[in-house]
Amino acid sequence: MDYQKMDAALAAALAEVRDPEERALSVFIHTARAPQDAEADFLEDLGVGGVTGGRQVFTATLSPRAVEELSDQPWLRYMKLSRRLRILGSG
Amino acid sequence: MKFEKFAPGLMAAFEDYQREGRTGLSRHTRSLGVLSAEDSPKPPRAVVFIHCDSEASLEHLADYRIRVNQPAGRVRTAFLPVESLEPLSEEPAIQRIVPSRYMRLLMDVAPDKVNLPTFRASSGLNGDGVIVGVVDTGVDPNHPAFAGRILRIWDQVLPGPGVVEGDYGVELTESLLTVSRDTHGHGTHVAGIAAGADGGFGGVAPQAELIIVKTDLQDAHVADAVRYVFRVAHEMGRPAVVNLSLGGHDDAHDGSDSLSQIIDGESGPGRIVCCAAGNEGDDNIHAQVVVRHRGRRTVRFRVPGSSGFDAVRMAILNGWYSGGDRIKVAVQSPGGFQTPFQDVIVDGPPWKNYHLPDCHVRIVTPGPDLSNGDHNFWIEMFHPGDPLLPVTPGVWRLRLRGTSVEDGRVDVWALDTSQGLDVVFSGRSVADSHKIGSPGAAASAITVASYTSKACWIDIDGARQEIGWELDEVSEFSSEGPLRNGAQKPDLAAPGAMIAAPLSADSSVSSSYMVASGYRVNGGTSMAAPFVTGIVALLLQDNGSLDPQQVKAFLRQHSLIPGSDQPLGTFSPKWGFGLINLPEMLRPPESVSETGGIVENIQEGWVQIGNVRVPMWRPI
Repeated sequence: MDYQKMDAALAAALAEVRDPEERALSVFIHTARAPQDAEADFLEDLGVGGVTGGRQVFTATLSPRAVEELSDQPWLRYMKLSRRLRILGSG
Repeated sequence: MKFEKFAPGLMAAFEDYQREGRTGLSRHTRSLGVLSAEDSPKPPRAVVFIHCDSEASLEHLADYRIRVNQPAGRVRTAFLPVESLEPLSEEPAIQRIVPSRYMRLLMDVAPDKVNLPTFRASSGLNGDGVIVGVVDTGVDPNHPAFAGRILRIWDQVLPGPGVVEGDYGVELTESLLTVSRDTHGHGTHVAGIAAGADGGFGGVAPQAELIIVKTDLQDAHVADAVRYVFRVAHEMGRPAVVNLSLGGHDDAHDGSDSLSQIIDGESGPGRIVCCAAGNEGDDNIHAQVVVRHRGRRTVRFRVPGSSGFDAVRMAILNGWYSGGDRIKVAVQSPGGFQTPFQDVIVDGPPWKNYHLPDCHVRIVTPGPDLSNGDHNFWIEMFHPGDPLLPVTPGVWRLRLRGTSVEDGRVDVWALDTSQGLDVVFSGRSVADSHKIGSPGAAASAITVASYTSKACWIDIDGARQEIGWELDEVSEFSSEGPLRNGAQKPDLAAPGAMIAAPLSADSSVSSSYMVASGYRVNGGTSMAAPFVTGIVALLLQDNGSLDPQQVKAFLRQHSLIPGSDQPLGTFSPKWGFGLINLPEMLRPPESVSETGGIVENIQEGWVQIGNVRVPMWRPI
């Protein structure tokens, strides 16, 4: 597990892990370049969609085990935990 | 007589009529829909709204000379003798009877404040051919303000196979649009400001078509939503502007976060994103200190006492400082118990847990964040053994110790799990600046502050309501910039309080916030952002290839801080470049033209024939 490729919030979420196989971590995935074939296959096997079109940022819901596997890939730049926003009306 | 069904104003009028007859009604005729000429042989009559069962047949009320204008619907209008109000109230299918009222200019002042009516009239623009995307709490698909113009709803909350951008939720079209509901009401209000069509409370771009995403507010899903709207718009060959009246403070406040990066990557010609600046202008959620080399600083923050469903069950500090510095962090609880100072951890799990006698603290201090090269520390305070237990209330302290410092500036934002942002800083470290987070921090997004254009209104029951915000000023609650990296945000201000717009029938709201059947007021930068979204839709109708920089240039050129002697183009961290002030024409006419030897200079106002030059407009 390469923790240096995770933001602090994702690291904190991993500290609370109960089931390493539960897909409960909503993340942003940043790759060093648009995924090549094998890299795209890897991401798609993890359930990441839209791995085409030259993008380098993806969203996915992963298990802690998947986060660990992904963090060890050399073509992964970093991952960040998705956070919940608030609506900005008063009432 | 079912008195409880009457709105107070109507009840008062009926009582005056019973006591004083036609004379008693006279004091109400200027405000209510009551017709009662003193010299008329006809009995006094009333125009009312009736709230009833949508399928109820009310034809039998004609026996009481009550004329109901609609055969079906939840809210209908009726014309009847005042004396027939009693049998009307006895009708079981009717829940409420509200008087019709004379509209007042007080109701809808925002468009005039920014010169919108003149701009629309002169340009002829109405949003036709442009898609407005609203990523929010959904929309009321039955509201007449949007009739026939909602193209799709991606409801991310309902179970389903999802769309290309995410395999969750369900995409709805045509007759299935009504499967999705906006039970909160925020999204309906926002959509109405941008693109509602109504005579009294119309939106800015009333002929734009809508793509709605009802989101669960996870920023990854908001990112998916932005991509979805732009993809569908591209498939339809239309320009699009997406409205995000959402925000948070979990990020670095410099636009390097993932959602902001996706917005920047997806924006371009004919693809614009507008964001709300945030509503934390009055909340002490940001602290800023400078830590010297081998120096120490303390930042105080308070966790309030709380209970019930909205208690603070986890308090979080989100801190950022330069990647070239090394600063250790520690936390002291209200009981005086302190964690050790924790340095940056570059090997293994970057967190440590500390079980203080009065609370549990987790401190996360990874190496430099790879999105911007800066250090982020993330501190959580909670009770792991009992997740429902509120965080220990009282004054907490964040301790900072510089071990290797060149810059030394530290910014910290306080977060918590309550509905409001209840954990706040105190003392000298409190800073009102730098409170615009993601997605308003996205460089290419148009980030909108709120301007208070109306502070009082007449509610649906005829009562005057007021809110204590200073009129004709930037709203106090509007979050202030700039960004942590110095970038200028917000971009501009637009009317955001109090704005009348469509009310979702599936939401609940106090009658004091309703201004008419199907319409309510609300305030926030949430309301300001769609105002600009609508303006962008108008601009895209004129030129569907405008990119974010071109749109910003137009808006900047036509924004001004009211009452300020600062020149056009002056930036304020509260106003941005000022309140939008639309030009009278989209573009000025050609200044100089020549036809058949006659030269006209419109800008300078003269006409020249041969060697003779005369003023263009000569008094007769």
